[in-house]
Amino acid sequence: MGDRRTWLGPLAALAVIVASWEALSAWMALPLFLPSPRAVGVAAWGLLVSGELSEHVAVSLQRLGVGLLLGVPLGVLLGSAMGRSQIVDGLIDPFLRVANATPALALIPFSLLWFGVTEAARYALLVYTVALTVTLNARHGVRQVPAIRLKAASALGVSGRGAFFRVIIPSAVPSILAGIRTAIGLGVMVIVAAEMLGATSGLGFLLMEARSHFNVERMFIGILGLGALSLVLDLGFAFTIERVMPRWSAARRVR
Amino acid sequence: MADWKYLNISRLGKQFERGPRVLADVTLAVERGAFLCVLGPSGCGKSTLVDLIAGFEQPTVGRISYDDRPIGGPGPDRVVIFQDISNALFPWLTALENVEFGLKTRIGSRAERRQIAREALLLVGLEQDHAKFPSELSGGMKQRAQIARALVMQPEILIMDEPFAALDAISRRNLQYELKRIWQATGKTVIFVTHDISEALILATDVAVLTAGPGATVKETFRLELPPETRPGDPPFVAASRRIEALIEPGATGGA
Amino acid sequence: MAPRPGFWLGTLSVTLALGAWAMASAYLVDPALLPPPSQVWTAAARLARSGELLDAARVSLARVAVGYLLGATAGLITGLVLGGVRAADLVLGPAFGFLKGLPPIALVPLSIMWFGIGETPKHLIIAYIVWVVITINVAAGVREIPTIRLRAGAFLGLSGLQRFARIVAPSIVPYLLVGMRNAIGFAYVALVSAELVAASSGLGYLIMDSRFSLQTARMIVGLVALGLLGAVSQLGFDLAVSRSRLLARYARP
Repeated sequence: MGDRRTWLGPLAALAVIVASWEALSAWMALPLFLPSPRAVGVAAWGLLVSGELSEHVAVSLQRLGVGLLLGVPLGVLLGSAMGRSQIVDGLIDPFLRVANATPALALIPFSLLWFGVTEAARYALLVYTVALTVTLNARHGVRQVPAIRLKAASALGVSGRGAFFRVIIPSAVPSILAGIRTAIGLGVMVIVAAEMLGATSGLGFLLMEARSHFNVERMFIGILGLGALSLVLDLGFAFTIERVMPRWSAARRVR
Repeated sequence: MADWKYLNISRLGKQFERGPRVLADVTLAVERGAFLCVLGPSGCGKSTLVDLIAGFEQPTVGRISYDDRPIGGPGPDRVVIFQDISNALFPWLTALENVEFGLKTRIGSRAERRQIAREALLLVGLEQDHAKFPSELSGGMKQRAQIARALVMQPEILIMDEPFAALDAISRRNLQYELKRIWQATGKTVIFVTHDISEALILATDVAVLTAGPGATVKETFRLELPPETRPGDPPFVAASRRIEALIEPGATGGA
Repeated sequence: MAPRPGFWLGTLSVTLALGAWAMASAYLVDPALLPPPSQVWTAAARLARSGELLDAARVSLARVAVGYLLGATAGLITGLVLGGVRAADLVLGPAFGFLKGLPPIALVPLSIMWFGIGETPKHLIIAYIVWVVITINVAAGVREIPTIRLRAGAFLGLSGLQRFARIVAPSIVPYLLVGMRNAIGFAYVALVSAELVAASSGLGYLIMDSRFSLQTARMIVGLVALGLLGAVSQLGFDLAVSRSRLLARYARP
């Protein structure tokens, strides 16, 4: 990532986009509709300085973090169990299919109903979404271990439970990591949605608040901030994995 | 004019933006109707030479011309047969449609196109399988289809870039003899790139051996004077093989 | 042919779950929060008979259809440009990487500010996400066209435009189809986003509205209908693709 050339492209892209934005907003001359980049920048600076922006971002991140912390292990356990045992899989699969068919966002009203407009409601939905994604990926990862690998292991005297922990799980790690990556993206979406529908902090709340005050600059800050956050998290995760677990990064390059 | 050659490559050099010189001072002169095999170790730039003759790339120095005309971009006068059999043909078209593909711009009548394509398929021995899609054809059959597709363009020069390298040994041998037969029937000028010495000896009238890269150049060229019907294993064949082996330097990977 | 053992296990656990649900609703949990399955059934029947369910479904489906068509068309065009024009890829490629991570729900408030509370903001939100998904897929498709295929086009005598029509276009069909398939799911996510936040009709609204009046059974019916609608849409797409003889040719690897 040290190659200067890889930064040149996105930087140039950013410059072009901001320039076009500036031109467009100047031409339209409707600051209440499309604010200029400068107006947004000034507002953003204000929010940063006052600490409001970092507060909202921190809150959203914290929620996401907790959701991942709880949801990922749950998903890995459940997914591995399902991948390993036909019985467990047979029992739980129908629910998984149904869960997959229902958009997580549609469950927001339910979590609000059952938990009230509380943090618990948000966490419940988040953990559910994360666990679901990771379960599917973990199950896939466990299932797709090439048979030849297990044969090789048993030829070396490793089979049964030993094989599960020493061959299957490690082979499933790339899938699980891919699942976590997806879960992060989905988690951001769920958190923002939950915050939009009944929170008093976080980026989602910021967006709703901006709308009720007709504050376009804030709206833009929220949207851009959210996009940037999402991008940073996603790339950051991929980067960390490459660094920390290079053994598996080659397998994960298939995106 | 005994000195006049049909295809002239003069002091050709190619350097890409990021990298060393791939080819340096390559000079080749090919007679019309000749079958020239370009031999060299892997990584010496044989494929780059193909790209230059075909017109996909432009030389950094030097000139290529044939029939006294300089080479510009790619065109139906110099068709290429690629090594990559999975991607060369168009998977959504049948063998026949693949062969017809280049004719659409030249010949208006569908019946005529069909006729020409069928004749080409007959020549390469794919008549039976004309309605099959590439996914249903074996590697050898795909290459035959590529050859047919190239031939219907009535090219001046056929450029073949290690076309049989991806095939199994038996298919390869079959196709080598098929190709020889087709060449004898059509009289095209062929530039055939390979690293396989016996392949070159079966097919070629002329051989050019390249040095190892980077900056590969022509080590030696000579006309093959093998008696007709010489088979691999016959003394003249073995002698020629030894001669070429002595010329080939180890390549980038250390082997020829 | 006997069904797989998984089928019986599945049936068993679903039956047990239904039973547990009924019990929980009767003895453990407040039926206002978790109505018994029977109540859900009656609510469904009532909604169906009154036509409310069908109306809501129709509204939602119409929104998805319009948004999807808009987004897919735009996505095809920008995808081709992004994949084919190097300069465009360099400049806009990173932008799409950014857009991909932006959840459509974040754009709902802005959309409402800009376009009011009619159907347009909903169409646009759905169109937006479909556009992003399909652009990325089509661009990838263009980029992955094997170079030798385009080169073959060159020496087979095709002009640039002809190469586009006869080589590029057929080559991207599999990628376009995958993108279109994925986009369906995303379109429904966008639909729900829009309907939860700011709608007065549709299935998402039905769910939200029923919550305010504590008609949980109705909520569940709405949810199921939504899930079914999405699943049917995807099935419909798969069916249309597998049936199409025209596409069969171009979907080949």
